[in-house]
Amino acid sequence: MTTVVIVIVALVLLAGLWWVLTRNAFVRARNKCDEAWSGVDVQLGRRHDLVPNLVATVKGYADHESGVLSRVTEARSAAISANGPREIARAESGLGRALGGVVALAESYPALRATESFQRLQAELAQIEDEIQASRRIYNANAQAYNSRIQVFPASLVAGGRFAARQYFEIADPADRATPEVAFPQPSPA
Amino acid sequence: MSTAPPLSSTASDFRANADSTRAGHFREALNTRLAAYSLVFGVAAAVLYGSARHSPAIILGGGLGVIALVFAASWLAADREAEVDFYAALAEGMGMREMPDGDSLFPTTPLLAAGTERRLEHLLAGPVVGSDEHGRQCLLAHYTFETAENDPHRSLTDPVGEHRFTLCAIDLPHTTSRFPGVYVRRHQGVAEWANGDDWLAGERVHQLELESAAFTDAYDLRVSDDQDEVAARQLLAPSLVVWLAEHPLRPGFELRAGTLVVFCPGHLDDAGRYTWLRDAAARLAESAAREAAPAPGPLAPPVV
Repeated sequence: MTTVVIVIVALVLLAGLWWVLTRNAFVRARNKCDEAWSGVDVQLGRRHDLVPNLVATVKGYADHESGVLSRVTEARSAAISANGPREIARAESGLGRALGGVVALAESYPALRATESFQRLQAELAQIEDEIQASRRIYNANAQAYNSRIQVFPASLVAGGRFAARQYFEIADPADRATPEVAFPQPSPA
Repeated sequence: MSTAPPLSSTASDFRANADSTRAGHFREALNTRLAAYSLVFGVAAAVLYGSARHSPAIILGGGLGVIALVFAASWLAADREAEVDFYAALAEGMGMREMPDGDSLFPTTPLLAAGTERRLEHLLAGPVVGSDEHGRQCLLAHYTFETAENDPHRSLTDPVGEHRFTLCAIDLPHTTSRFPGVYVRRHQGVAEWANGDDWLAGERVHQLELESAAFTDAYDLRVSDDQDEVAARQLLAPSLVVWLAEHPLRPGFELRAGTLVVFCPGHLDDAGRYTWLRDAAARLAESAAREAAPAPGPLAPPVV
Protein backbone atom coordinates (compact mmCIF):
# COMPACT_ATOMS: atom_id res chain seq x y z
CA MET A 1 0.00 0.00 0.00
CA THR A 2 2.81 2.40 1.01
CA THR A 3 4.67 1.62 -2.21
CA VAL A 4 1.61 2.45 -4.28
CA VAL A 5 1.24 5.79 -2.49
CA ILE A 6 4.94 6.59 -3.01
CA VAL A 7 4.69 5.74 -6.71
CA ILE A 8 1.57 7.91 -7.11
CA VAL A 9 3.16 10.83 -5.26
CA ALA A 10 6.35 10.48 -7.36
CA LEU A 11 4.31 10.44 -10.57
CA VAL A 12 2.35 13.51 -9.51
CA LEU A 13 5.57 15.32 -8.61
CA LEU A 14 7.14 14.37 -11.96
CA ALA A 15 4.06 15.55 -13.84
CA GLY A 16 4.13 18.82 -11.90
CA LEU A 17 7.79 19.32 -12.66
CA TRP A 18 7.18 18.61 -16.34
CA TRP A 19 4.29 21.08 -16.37
CA VAL A 20 6.42 23.84 -14.80
CA LEU A 21 9.40 23.21 -17.11
CA THR A 22 7.20 23.10 -20.21
CA ARG A 23 5.39 26.29 -19.26
CA ASN A 24 8.69 28.07 -18.61
CA ALA A 25 9.96 26.93 -22.00
CA PHE A 26 6.84 28.43 -23.60
CA VAL A 27 7.38 31.72 -21.80
CA ARG A 28 11.04 31.83 -22.90
CA ALA A 29 10.09 31.06 -26.51
CA ARG A 30 7.36 33.70 -26.45
CA ASN A 31 9.79 36.29 -25.06
CA LYS A 32 12.22 35.40 -27.85
CA CYS A 33 9.45 36.08 -30.36
CA ASP A 34 8.70 39.46 -28.76
CA GLU A 35 12.39 40.32 -28.72
CA ALA A 36 12.78 39.35 -32.37
CA TRP A 37 9.71 41.36 -33.28
CA SER A 38 11.14 44.46 -31.61
CA GLY A 39 14.31 43.82 -33.66
CA VAL A 40 12.19 43.89 -36.82
CA ASP A 41 10.53 47.05 -35.56
CA VAL A 42 13.89 48.76 -35.02
CA GLN A 43 15.00 47.99 -38.58
CA LEU A 44 11.69 49.12 -40.06
CA GLY A 45 11.95 52.31 -38.01
CA ARG A 46 15.40 52.95 -39.49
CA ARG A 47 13.88 52.70 -42.96
CA HIS A 48 11.03 55.04 -42.05
CA ASP A 49 13.55 57.56 -40.72
CA LEU A 50 15.44 57.46 -43.98
CA VAL A 51 12.46 58.34 -46.16
CA PRO A 52 12.22 62.12 -45.40
CA ASN A 53 15.94 62.55 -46.20
CA LEU A 54 15.60 60.59 -49.40
CA VAL A 55 12.54 62.54 -50.49
CA ALA A 56 14.23 65.86 -49.69
CA THR A 57 17.34 64.90 -51.64
CA VAL A 58 15.43 63.70 -54.70
CA LYS A 59 13.05 66.68 -54.57
CA GLY A 60 15.97 69.04 -55.02
CA TYR A 61 16.68 67.51 -58.42
CA ALA A 62 13.33 66.18 -59.57
CA ASP A 63 10.73 68.47 -58.04
CA HIS A 64 8.29 67.84 -60.88
CA GLU A 65 8.21 64.10 -60.10
CA SER A 66 5.83 64.85 -57.24
CA GLY A 67 3.68 61.77 -57.96
CA VAL A 68 6.49 59.35 -57.15
CA LEU A 69 7.57 61.32 -54.10
CA SER A 70 4.09 61.67 -52.67
CA ARG A 71 3.56 57.91 -53.11
CA VAL A 72 6.64 57.32 -50.94
CA THR A 73 5.39 59.71 -48.27
CA GLU A 74 1.95 58.11 -48.26
CA ALA A 75 3.44 54.62 -48.13
CA ARG A 76 5.61 55.67 -45.19
CA SER A 77 2.60 57.01 -43.30
CA ALA A 78 0.71 53.79 -43.98
CA ALA A 79 3.69 51.71 -42.79
CA ILE A 80 4.04 53.71 -39.58
CA SER A 81 0.35 53.39 -38.71
CA ALA A 82 0.09 49.67 -39.57
CA ASN A 83 -0.45 47.11 -36.79
CA GLY A 84 0.29 43.39 -36.57
CA PRO A 85 2.66 41.34 -38.70
CA ARG A 86 0.28 40.86 -41.65
CA GLU A 87 -0.77 44.49 -41.95
CA ILE A 88 2.77 45.73 -41.40
CA ALA A 89 4.10 43.29 -44.01
CA ARG A 90 1.56 44.60 -46.53
CA ALA A 91 2.34 48.25 -45.75
CA GLU A 92 6.10 47.66 -45.78
CA SER A 93 5.85 45.93 -49.16
CA GLY A 94 4.13 49.06 -50.45
CA LEU A 95 6.86 51.26 -49.00
CA GLY A 96 9.54 49.01 -50.51
CA ARG A 97 7.94 49.33 -53.95
CA ALA A 98 7.61 53.11 -53.58
CA LEU A 99 11.26 53.40 -52.57
CA GLY A 100 12.23 51.22 -55.52
CA GLY A 101 10.37 53.73 -57.70
CA VAL A 102 12.45 56.59 -56.28
CA VAL A 103 15.71 54.74 -56.87
CA ALA A 104 14.58 53.93 -60.42
CA LEU A 105 13.67 57.58 -60.90
CA ALA A 106 17.21 58.58 -60.04
CA GLU A 107 18.42 56.67 -63.09
CA SER A 108 17.02 59.51 -65.21
CA TYR A 109 18.90 62.17 -63.21
CA PRO A 110 22.68 61.63 -63.45
CA ALA A 111 23.35 64.77 -61.38
CA LEU A 112 21.26 63.34 -58.54
CA ARG A 113 22.95 59.96 -58.74
CA ALA A 114 26.34 61.64 -58.54
CA THR A 115 25.61 63.49 -55.28
CA GLU A 116 27.31 62.16 -52.19
CA SER A 117 24.16 62.42 -50.11
CA PHE A 118 22.11 60.33 -52.54
CA GLN A 119 24.82 57.70 -52.82
CA ARG A 120 25.07 57.50 -49.05
CA LEU A 121 21.31 57.23 -48.67
CA GLN A 122 21.17 54.55 -51.33
CA ALA A 123 23.93 52.53 -49.62
CA GLU A 124 22.23 52.96 -46.25
CA LEU A 125 18.91 51.88 -47.73
CA ALA A 126 20.50 48.75 -49.19
CA GLN A 127 22.07 47.94 -45.82
CA ILE A 128 18.78 48.49 -43.99
CA GLU A 129 16.98 46.23 -46.48
CA ASP A 130 19.52 43.48 -45.68
CA GLU A 131 18.98 43.95 -41.95
CA ILE A 132 15.19 43.90 -42.41
CA GLN A 133 15.44 40.60 -44.27
CA ALA A 134 17.70 39.15 -41.56
CA SER A 135 15.41 40.38 -38.75
CA ARG A 136 12.44 38.89 -40.58
CA ARG A 137 14.20 35.53 -40.80
CA ILE A 138 15.08 35.64 -37.10
CA TYR A 139 11.51 36.52 -36.14
CA ASN A 140 9.99 33.85 -38.38
CA ALA A 141 12.43 31.20 -37.07
CA ASN A 142 11.57 32.12 -33.48
CA ALA A 143 7.84 32.18 -34.25
CA GLN A 144 8.07 28.78 -35.96
CA ALA A 145 9.91 27.28 -32.97
CA TYR A 146 7.39 28.80 -30.55
CA ASN A 147 4.35 27.70 -32.58
CA SER A 148 5.71 24.15 -32.84
CA ARG A 149 6.28 24.00 -29.12
CA ILE A 150 2.80 25.08 -28.14
CA GLN A 151 1.06 22.94 -30.75
CA VAL A 152 2.84 19.62 -30.30
CA PHE A 153 1.08 17.07 -28.08
CA PRO A 154 1.31 16.61 -25.07
CA ALA A 155 2.89 20.06 -24.51
CA SER A 156 -0.21 21.59 -26.13
CA LEU A 157 -2.11 20.55 -22.96
CA VAL A 158 0.03 22.99 -20.96
CA ALA A 159 -0.34 25.72 -23.58
CA GLY A 160 -4.14 25.60 -23.46
CA GLY A 161 -5.52 28.96 -24.56
CA ARG A 162 -2.92 31.02 -22.71
CA PHE A 163 -0.25 30.82 -25.41
CA ALA A 164 -1.52 32.00 -28.77
CA ALA A 165 0.31 31.09 -31.99
CA ARG A 166 2.31 33.88 -33.59
CA GLN A 167 1.74 35.14 -37.11
CA TYR A 168 4.67 35.00 -39.48
CA PHE A 169 6.06 38.17 -40.99
CA GLU A 170 5.78 37.25 -44.64
CA ILE A 171 5.99 39.06 -47.91
CA ALA A 172 2.43 40.23 -48.34
CA ASP A 173 2.30 41.02 -52.02
CA PRO A 174 2.57 38.04 -54.39
CA ALA A 175 4.15 40.41 -56.92
CA ASP A 176 7.18 40.80 -54.61
CA ARG A 177 7.56 37.03 -54.38
CA ALA A 178 7.33 36.36 -58.11
CA THR A 179 10.52 35.33 -59.85
CA PRO A 180 11.40 37.83 -62.54
CA GLU A 181 11.00 36.37 -65.96
CA VAL A 182 14.06 36.52 -68.15
CA ALA A 183 13.43 36.37 -71.87
CA PHE A 184 16.30 35.73 -74.21
CA PRO A 185 16.01 37.14 -77.70
CA GLN A 186 15.27 34.47 -80.25
CA PRO A 187 18.02 34.10 -82.83
CA SER A 188 16.83 35.43 -86.13
CA PRO A 189 16.82 32.90 -88.94
CA ALA A 190 19.83 33.32 -91.18
CA MET B 1 28.30 32.31 -47.80
CA SER B 2 31.63 31.34 -49.12
CA THR B 3 31.94 29.41 -52.33
CA ALA B 4 34.74 27.14 -53.51
CA PRO B 5 38.20 28.26 -52.49
CA PRO B 6 39.63 30.74 -54.99
CA LEU B 7 42.94 28.97 -55.35
CA SER B 8 45.09 30.35 -58.08
CA SER B 9 47.28 27.28 -58.40
CA THR B 10 46.94 25.12 -61.43
CA ALA B 11 44.86 21.97 -61.13
CA SER B 12 47.97 19.80 -60.91
CA ASP B 13 49.29 21.89 -57.99
CA PHE B 14 46.01 21.79 -56.09
CA ARG B 15 46.15 20.05 -52.73
CA ALA B 16 42.69 19.50 -51.28
CA ASN B 17 44.03 18.53 -47.88
CA ALA B 18 47.15 17.61 -45.95
CA ASP B 19 46.84 13.94 -47.00
CA SER B 20 46.47 14.54 -50.73
CA THR B 21 50.04 13.65 -51.72
CA ARG B 22 50.80 11.18 -48.94
CA ALA B 23 50.26 8.05 -51.03
CA GLY B 24 52.63 9.34 -53.72
CA HIS B 25 55.31 10.21 -51.17
CA PHE B 26 54.85 6.81 -49.54
CA ARG B 27 55.51 5.04 -52.82
CA GLU B 28 58.55 7.28 -53.40
CA ALA B 29 59.88 6.55 -49.92
CA LEU B 30 59.57 2.80 -50.47
CA ASN B 31 61.42 3.14 -53.78
CA THR B 32 64.47 4.74 -52.19
CA ARG B 33 67.75 2.90 -51.72
CA LEU B 34 67.58 3.47 -47.98
CA ALA B 35 64.26 1.61 -47.76
CA ALA B 36 65.48 -1.18 -50.06
CA TYR B 37 68.77 -1.65 -48.15
CA SER B 38 66.96 -1.50 -44.82
CA LEU B 39 64.53 -4.18 -45.94
CA VAL B 40 67.18 -6.47 -47.44
CA PHE B 41 69.73 -6.15 -44.66
CA GLY B 42 67.11 -6.13 -41.92
CA VAL B 43 65.39 -9.28 -43.18
CA ALA B 44 68.78 -10.93 -43.85
CA ALA B 45 69.91 -10.11 -40.32
CA ALA B 46 66.70 -11.56 -38.89
CA VAL B 47 67.14 -14.75 -40.96
CA LEU B 48 70.80 -15.13 -39.98
CA TYR B 49 70.17 -14.47 -36.31
CA GLY B 50 67.15 -16.78 -36.29
CA SER B 51 69.15 -19.52 -38.03
CA ALA B 52 71.99 -19.17 -35.56
CA ARG B 53 69.49 -19.52 -32.72
CA HIS B 54 67.61 -22.33 -34.55
CA SER B 55 64.42 -20.31 -34.09
CA PRO B 56 61.86 -20.13 -36.92
CA ALA B 57 59.91 -17.66 -34.77
CA ILE B 58 62.81 -15.17 -34.83
CA ILE B 59 63.22 -15.64 -38.57
CA LEU B 60 59.52 -15.04 -39.26
CA GLY B 61 58.84 -12.45 -36.53
CA GLY B 62 62.08 -10.54 -37.10
CA GLY B 63 61.54 -10.43 -40.86
CA LEU B 64 57.97 -9.21 -40.48
CA GLY B 65 59.07 -6.72 -37.80
CA VAL B 66 61.70 -5.21 -40.09
CA ILE B 67 59.18 -4.90 -42.93
CA ALA B 68 56.63 -3.26 -40.61
CA LEU B 69 59.26 -0.86 -39.27
CA VAL B 70 60.38 0.24 -42.75
CA PHE B 71 56.76 0.71 -43.85
CA ALA B 72 55.92 2.71 -40.75
CA ALA B 73 58.97 4.95 -41.10
CA SER B 74 58.18 5.55 -44.78
CA TRP B 75 54.56 6.33 -43.93
CA LEU B 76 55.54 8.89 -41.31
CA ALA B 77 58.04 10.54 -43.65
CA ALA B 78 55.41 10.63 -46.43
CA ASP B 79 52.88 12.14 -44.04
CA ARG B 80 55.28 14.96 -43.11
CA GLU B 81 56.14 15.67 -46.75
CA ALA B 82 52.47 15.69 -47.77
CA GLU B 83 51.84 18.24 -45.02
CA VAL B 84 54.70 20.41 -46.28
CA ASP B 85 53.32 20.18 -49.85
CA PHE B 86 49.83 21.08 -48.70
CA TYR B 87 50.77 24.17 -46.72
CA ALA B 88 53.11 25.43 -49.48
CA ALA B 89 50.32 25.06 -52.06
CA LEU B 90 47.74 26.53 -49.69
CA ALA B 91 49.91 29.59 -48.99
CA GLU B 92 50.45 30.14 -52.70
CA GLY B 93 46.79 29.60 -53.54
CA MET B 94 45.59 32.02 -50.86
CA GLY B 95 48.19 34.64 -51.73
CA MET B 96 49.89 34.22 -48.35
CA ARG B 97 53.35 33.32 -47.17
CA GLU B 98 54.53 30.63 -44.77
CA MET B 99 56.07 31.71 -41.49
CA PRO B 100 58.20 29.75 -39.02
CA ASP B 101 56.32 28.03 -36.20
CA GLY B 102 56.17 30.10 -33.06
CA ASP B 103 55.38 30.03 -29.38
CA SER B 104 52.24 32.10 -29.60
CA LEU B 105 50.76 35.47 -30.45
CA PHE B 106 50.82 38.33 -27.99
CA PRO B 107 48.10 37.27 -25.52
CA THR B 108 45.65 40.07 -26.24
CA THR B 109 42.49 37.96 -26.08
CA PRO B 110 41.50 35.32 -23.50
CA LEU B 111 41.94 32.47 -25.98
CA LEU B 112 45.47 33.61 -26.83
CA ALA B 113 46.25 33.85 -23.12
CA ALA B 114 44.68 30.53 -22.16
CA GLY B 115 46.62 27.71 -20.52
CA THR B 116 50.25 27.75 -19.46
CA GLU B 117 51.84 26.43 -22.67
CA ARG B 118 50.89 27.79 -26.07
CA ARG B 119 52.20 27.16 -29.56
CA LEU B 120 51.42 28.03 -33.15
CA GLU B 121 52.09 25.77 -36.13
CA HIS B 122 51.66 26.12 -39.88
CA LEU B 123 51.56 29.89 -39.76
CA LEU B 124 50.40 31.67 -42.90
CA ALA B 125 50.52 35.46 -43.15
CA GLY B 126 48.97 37.60 -45.85
CA PRO B 127 46.05 39.79 -46.87
CA VAL B 128 42.66 39.17 -45.30
CA VAL B 129 41.22 38.64 -48.75
CA GLY B 130 42.95 38.87 -52.09
CA SER B 131 41.78 42.36 -52.99
CA ASP B 132 41.01 43.83 -49.58
CA GLU B 133 40.77 47.57 -50.17
CA HIS B 134 41.81 48.33 -46.59
CA GLY B 135 45.02 46.34 -46.92
CA ARG B 136 44.38 44.41 -43.72
CA GLN B 137 46.72 41.54 -42.96
CA CYS B 138 45.85 38.34 -41.17
CA LEU B 139 47.60 35.39 -39.63
CA LEU B 140 46.19 31.89 -40.06
CA ALA B 141 47.57 29.17 -37.83
CA HIS B 142 47.03 25.98 -35.89
CA TYR B 143 46.91 27.03 -32.27
CA THR B 144 47.31 24.76 -29.26
CA PHE B 145 47.20 25.64 -25.62
CA GLU B 146 47.75 23.21 -22.84
CA THR B 147 47.95 23.07 -19.10
CA ALA B 148 49.31 20.20 -17.07
CA GLU B 149 47.38 19.20 -13.96
CA ASN B 150 50.47 19.60 -11.80
CA ASP B 151 51.76 22.77 -13.48
CA PRO B 152 52.81 25.15 -10.67
CA HIS B 153 51.66 28.13 -12.78
CA ARG B 154 48.18 26.72 -13.28
CA SER B 155 45.41 28.73 -11.69
CA LEU B 156 42.25 27.03 -10.48
CA THR B 157 40.31 28.20 -13.53
CA ASP B 158 42.88 27.09 -16.13
CA PRO B 159 41.64 24.28 -18.36
CA VAL B 160 43.61 21.06 -18.03
CA GLY B 161 44.87 19.15 -21.06
CA GLU B 162 45.61 20.04 -24.67
CA HIS B 163 43.18 22.19 -26.63
CA ARG B 164 43.45 22.65 -30.38
CA PHE B 165 42.08 25.40 -32.59
CA THR B 166 42.61 26.88 -36.00
CA LEU B 167 42.56 30.64 -35.86
CA CYS B 168 42.75 33.72 -38.00
CA ALA B 169 44.01 36.85 -36.24
CA ILE B 170 43.60 40.39 -37.58
CA ASP B 171 44.77 43.68 -36.09
CA LEU B 172 41.97 46.24 -35.85
CA PRO B 173 43.57 48.95 -33.70
CA HIS B 174 40.77 51.52 -34.03
CA THR B 175 38.21 49.12 -32.49
CA THR B 176 39.98 49.15 -29.11
CA SER B 177 37.80 51.70 -27.35
CA ARG B 178 34.47 50.66 -28.85
CA PHE B 179 35.01 46.96 -28.21
CA PRO B 180 36.85 46.32 -24.94
CA GLY B 181 35.73 42.70 -25.03
CA VAL B 182 33.26 40.71 -27.14
CA TYR B 183 33.54 36.92 -27.03
CA VAL B 184 31.48 34.57 -29.16
CA ARG B 185 32.09 30.83 -29.14
CA ARG B 186 30.19 27.64 -29.68
CA HIS B 187 28.29 26.40 -26.68
CA GLN B 188 30.49 24.25 -24.50
CA GLY B 189 29.39 20.63 -24.47
CA VAL B 190 29.10 18.51 -21.35
CA ALA B 191 32.57 17.02 -22.00
CA GLU B 192 34.22 20.44 -22.15
CA TRP B 193 32.36 21.58 -19.07
CA ALA B 194 33.50 18.47 -17.19
CA ASN B 195 37.11 19.07 -18.33
CA GLY B 196 36.96 22.64 -17.11
CA ASP B 197 37.64 23.72 -20.72
CA ASP B 198 36.50 27.30 -20.21
CA TRP B 199 39.18 29.83 -20.92
CA LEU B 200 36.79 32.68 -20.08
CA ALA B 201 36.19 31.38 -16.55
CA GLY B 202 38.66 33.76 -14.92
CA GLU B 203 37.62 36.83 -16.95
CA ARG B 204 35.39 39.69 -15.84
CA VAL B 205 32.65 38.92 -18.33
CA HIS B 206 28.91 38.47 -18.37
CA GLN B 207 26.51 36.79 -20.70
CA LEU B 208 24.51 38.65 -23.31
CA GLU B 209 21.54 37.18 -25.11
CA LEU B 210 20.44 38.12 -28.60
CA GLU B 211 16.97 37.84 -30.08
CA SER B 212 17.78 34.90 -32.37
CA ALA B 213 16.88 31.54 -30.81
CA ALA B 214 19.04 29.73 -33.40
CA PHE B 215 22.07 31.85 -32.47
CA THR B 216 21.42 31.41 -28.75
CA ASP B 217 21.20 27.63 -29.21
CA ALA B 218 24.48 27.51 -31.14
CA TYR B 219 26.60 30.17 -29.47
CA ASP B 220 27.63 31.48 -26.11
CA LEU B 221 27.99 35.28 -26.24
CA ARG B 222 29.82 37.07 -23.47
CA VAL B 223 31.04 40.62 -23.16
CA SER B 224 33.49 42.14 -20.73
CA ASP B 225 31.97 44.12 -17.88
CA ASP B 226 33.24 47.40 -19.35
CA GLN B 227 31.80 46.66 -22.80
CA ASP B 228 28.98 48.91 -23.97
CA GLU B 229 26.18 46.41 -24.62
CA VAL B 230 24.58 48.62 -27.25
CA ALA B 231 27.83 48.63 -29.23
CA ALA B 232 28.03 44.83 -28.93
CA ARG B 233 24.45 44.50 -30.18
CA GLN B 234 25.19 46.86 -33.06
CA LEU B 235 28.18 44.72 -34.01
CA LEU B 236 26.02 41.61 -33.89
CA ALA B 237 23.44 43.05 -36.29
CA PRO B 238 20.69 40.67 -37.50
CA SER B 239 22.44 39.94 -40.80
CA LEU B 240 25.66 38.93 -38.98
CA VAL B 241 23.72 36.84 -36.46
CA VAL B 242 21.89 34.92 -39.20
CA TRP B 243 25.16 34.46 -41.09
CA LEU B 244 26.99 33.16 -38.01
CA ALA B 245 24.17 30.78 -37.04
CA GLU B 246 24.13 29.29 -40.54
CA HIS B 247 27.89 29.23 -41.17
CA PRO B 248 29.10 25.66 -41.83
CA LEU B 249 32.20 26.13 -39.64
CA ARG B 250 30.31 27.77 -36.78
CA PRO B 251 33.30 30.01 -36.13
CA GLY B 252 33.73 31.77 -32.81
CA PHE B 253 35.50 35.06 -32.37
CA GLU B 254 37.08 37.26 -29.74
CA LEU B 255 37.48 40.99 -30.18
CA ARG B 256 39.60 42.74 -27.61
CA ALA B 257 42.42 45.26 -27.42
CA GLY B 258 42.24 45.87 -31.16
CA THR B 259 42.73 42.22 -32.05
CA LEU B 260 40.13 40.09 -33.75
CA VAL B 261 40.67 36.35 -33.39
CA VAL B 262 38.30 34.15 -35.38
CA PHE B 263 38.59 30.47 -34.53
CA CYS B 264 37.10 27.03 -34.81
CA PRO B 265 37.93 23.98 -32.73
CA GLY B 266 40.43 21.45 -34.08
CA HIS B 267 43.34 21.76 -36.49
CA LEU B 268 41.86 22.24 -39.96
CA ASP B 269 43.73 20.48 -42.73
CA ASP B 270 41.80 21.13 -45.91
CA ALA B 271 41.83 24.07 -48.26
CA GLY B 272 38.08 24.63 -48.34
CA ARG B 273 37.73 25.05 -44.59
CA TYR B 274 40.80 27.29 -44.41
CA THR B 275 39.25 29.56 -47.01
CA TRP B 276 35.96 29.59 -45.15
CA LEU B 277 37.74 30.57 -41.97
CA ARG B 278 39.60 33.43 -43.65
CA ASP B 279 36.40 34.62 -45.35
CA ALA B 280 34.61 34.53 -42.01
CA ALA B 281 37.44 36.59 -40.46
CA ALA B 282 37.20 39.07 -43.34
CA ARG B 283 33.46 39.49 -42.85
CA LEU B 284 33.79 39.92 -39.08
CA ALA B 285 36.68 42.36 -39.47
CA GLU B 286 34.61 44.41 -41.91
CA SER B 287 31.66 44.53 -39.52
CA ALA B 288 33.83 45.44 -36.52
CA ALA B 289 35.68 48.13 -38.45
CA ARG B 290 32.42 49.60 -39.76
CA GLU B 291 30.86 49.72 -36.30
CA ALA B 292 33.98 51.27 -34.79
CA ALA B 293 34.33 53.91 -37.49
CA PRO B 294 33.16 57.41 -36.56
CA ALA B 295 29.64 58.16 -37.77
CA PRO B 296 29.51 60.14 -41.02
CA GLY B 297 28.65 63.81 -40.69
CA PRO B 298 25.17 65.15 -41.33
CA LEU B 299 24.00 65.05 -44.91
CA ALA B 300 24.55 68.25 -46.82
CA PRO B 301 21.35 69.88 -48.09
CA PRO B 302 20.77 69.21 -51.77
CA VAL B 303 22.27 71.87 -54.01
CA VAL B 304 20.66 72.38 -57.37
